[in-house]
Amino acid sequence: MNETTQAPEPQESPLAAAPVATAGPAPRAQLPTVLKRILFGMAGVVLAALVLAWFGGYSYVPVADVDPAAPDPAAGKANLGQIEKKLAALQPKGAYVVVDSAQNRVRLMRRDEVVLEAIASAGTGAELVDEATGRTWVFETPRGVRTVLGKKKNPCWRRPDWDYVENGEPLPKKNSDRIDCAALGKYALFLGDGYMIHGTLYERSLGMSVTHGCVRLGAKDLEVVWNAAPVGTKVYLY
Amino acid sequence: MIRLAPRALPALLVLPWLAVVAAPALAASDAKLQRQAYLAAELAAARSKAFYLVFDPGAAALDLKIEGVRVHRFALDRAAFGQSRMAGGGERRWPAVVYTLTTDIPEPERPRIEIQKQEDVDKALDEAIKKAIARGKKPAGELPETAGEKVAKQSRVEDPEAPVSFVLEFDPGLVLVVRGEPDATDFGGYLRRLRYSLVEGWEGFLLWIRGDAPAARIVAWLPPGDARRLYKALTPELTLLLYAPPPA
Repeated sequence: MNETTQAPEPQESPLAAAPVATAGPAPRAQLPTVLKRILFGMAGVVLAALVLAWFGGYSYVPVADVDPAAPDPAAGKANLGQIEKKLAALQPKGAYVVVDSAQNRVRLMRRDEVVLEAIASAGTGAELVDEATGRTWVFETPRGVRTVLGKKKNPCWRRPDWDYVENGEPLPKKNSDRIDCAALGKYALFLGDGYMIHGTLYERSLGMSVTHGCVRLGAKDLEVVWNAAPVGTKVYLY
Repeated sequence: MIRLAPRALPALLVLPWLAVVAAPALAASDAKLQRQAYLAAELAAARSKAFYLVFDPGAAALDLKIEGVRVHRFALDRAAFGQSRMAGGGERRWPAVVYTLTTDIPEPERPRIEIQKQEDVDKALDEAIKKAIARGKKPAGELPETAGEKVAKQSRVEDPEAPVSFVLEFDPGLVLVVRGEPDATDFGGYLRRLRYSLVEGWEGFLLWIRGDAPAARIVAWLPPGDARRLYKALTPELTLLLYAPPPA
């Protein structure tokens, strides 16, 4: 019980003779060295990254200072005058209409001159799904070139199925029940596939993308377009 | 040889004069070939009935065209042509006259129209309005909000609009970097430019490591609205033409 344990005699280690680090100025002197190494390392990495970025980077000049592409000798066979004539023949002879669906603007043009710039409404780009039948419609204004295929004053609209689906109404049994003579305003210019440029009861939303793909104009602007754009007028939609 | 030298002397004297006279003629013939190449390419693009872009370096403008008709001109605030230092710089020359867009244009996210309940429509439509519409007249009262108007309002709040800054890759070897932001010269602008050039540099370096040649690039600054409009006008495999002016 009273046995006492004796601590083992410390054995002399070969390192014992070595000077033992004592709390003094030396460790404090090492700390900045470590910091320095870290800082130098970081600076090296940053410098390397900058050098790599510079070498991998681009040198720029204004675009006007760049030489044209090397001319293709085969192009020399084409007759410059003839190509210019062919290109000119593609240009619309009279008025034409440009529809900017992204900005909801319509421009009536004659050659390069803007005759009218009007605020319009183009398609929402939204999707309607009839869950009962699985039918889907996308209400987007088409892009590309169309032609005014027909015109009608005081047009009536035959409401398509999607208008009933959207409004949660049952489909009418008679075709005559689909006719709505107020929605299209005073004039309609037909562009094919059911798309039109027409008037609206909702002039308050001109400038917004609210339609089912048609292009709506305010009454005054529509009248100008109606008068200037005969059947056959080109309509460019983008 | 020594005896021939006096005879060759007049010819030697004429040579510099010939060079001076012939150089503009050669340049004019090059300009004509370039114009021919551009117009031939434009005719093919115009006949395709698809939209195409024409980049005019002289005017710093990008024209959206169809059937040879310019439907919109994107006037650039600034445009710069860049060549990779890794590729060795070399002569500053446009790679080609005709380019084809190779970047995929994702389909836009489409909001879904909420089908209206009939009782809500009936409640919203005043009797007088109903009668006017049935008679084909413009009703006097305030019309209820349409599904389209609801979508437009919802889109304004939720829809992350088309991007203002984007990168388009064209074949052969051209990248168009669109920056829909002011090319600011203040400190913020400087920092932004620094960030862009660092990212661009590392990307170029990675390409070089992979053994790919970094393509020439145009960086175009334009107003944010125009950048969005340009993005919305993009179509798959869109053609980009490099404008060549008529020879002087």
